[in-house]
Amino acid sequence: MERFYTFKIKRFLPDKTPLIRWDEFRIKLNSMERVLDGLIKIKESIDGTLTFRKSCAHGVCGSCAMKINGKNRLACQTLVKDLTELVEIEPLPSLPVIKDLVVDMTLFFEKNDRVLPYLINDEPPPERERLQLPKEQERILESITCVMCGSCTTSCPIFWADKNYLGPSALLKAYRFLFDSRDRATEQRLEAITGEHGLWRCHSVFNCIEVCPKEIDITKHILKLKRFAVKKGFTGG
Amino acid sequence: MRYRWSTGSLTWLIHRITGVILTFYLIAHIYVLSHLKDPQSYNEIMALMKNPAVKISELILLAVVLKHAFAGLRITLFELGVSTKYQKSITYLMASLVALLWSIGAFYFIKEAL
Repeated sequence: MERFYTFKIKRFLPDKTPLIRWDEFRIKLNSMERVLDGLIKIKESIDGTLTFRKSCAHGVCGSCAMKINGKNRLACQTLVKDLTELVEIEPLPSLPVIKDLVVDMTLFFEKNDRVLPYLINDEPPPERERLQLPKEQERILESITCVMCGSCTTSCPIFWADKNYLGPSALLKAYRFLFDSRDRATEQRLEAITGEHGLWRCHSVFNCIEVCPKEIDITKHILKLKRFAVKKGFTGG
Repeated sequence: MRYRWSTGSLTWLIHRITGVILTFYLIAHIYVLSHLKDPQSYNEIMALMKNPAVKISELILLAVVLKHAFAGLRITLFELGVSTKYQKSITYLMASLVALLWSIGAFYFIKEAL
């Protein structure tokens, strides 16, 4: 079934005045189409200057995260039929905007780097790969599914107020390696996440869970990290 | 900035606001306590406490204290390992407990005032 939708998009044009304006586009979409399809239609047939990030268009790359109707989501995973006739689209909150719906993710990735997001193991490597039991893998399975779209961190009120805060995404990444049976850098990583702007800043607001396109229970992982850090004696911050 | 509210973020905001209110209340509380030095000022302040406006604000204070305490309890439960799957149900449970306890408290407040 085809229907008309009004896309109200917050534009940010760095070389025009006014810098910020709201544009409305009326387009026809069928019930199987997603917000991303609508954006592509607008770019192809109405306004070629509309800028947004997209890559895989199937909820795997995490490029098209944006604020749709007041909530962060992936445009490629949101069916228009689930939304109202008026679809309000804004860039991800609290990150610097480059143009239209494209935000500067540097800050977000810097936080990721702070938790040492790679396997650290000084033991000599075995002949083949470092093995893991299925049970050990299950422990980190949920956290591995993260696509790093940035929806969670930019939906977090603590991050809005404190740009130094690690944020749910980086803490989830820390969990992914701290609870990996092959990793040996427990102390080093705990030291990195338990600072003033780290783990203890999470106040369990649950905004991250509401928006995660992979439906990861991020708060659950952060709470596990908190208990783990206390057991290991990393209570400073 | 506009962002859609959810059960979790609303509970968090209420927790914050009630916390700020209680901080200011604490100052007023200490002020009152520190002025109960002699019988005369004691009587003066106790007369002030009989004021209906003070009585009503005491009812509000009870609601604020209960709301804040149960919001804290909710967060503590998660920290201790209660599944976050139930975060919404626990919020509603805590809200009902607050409503129940406030009604009981308000009943005795009003009974005494009449």
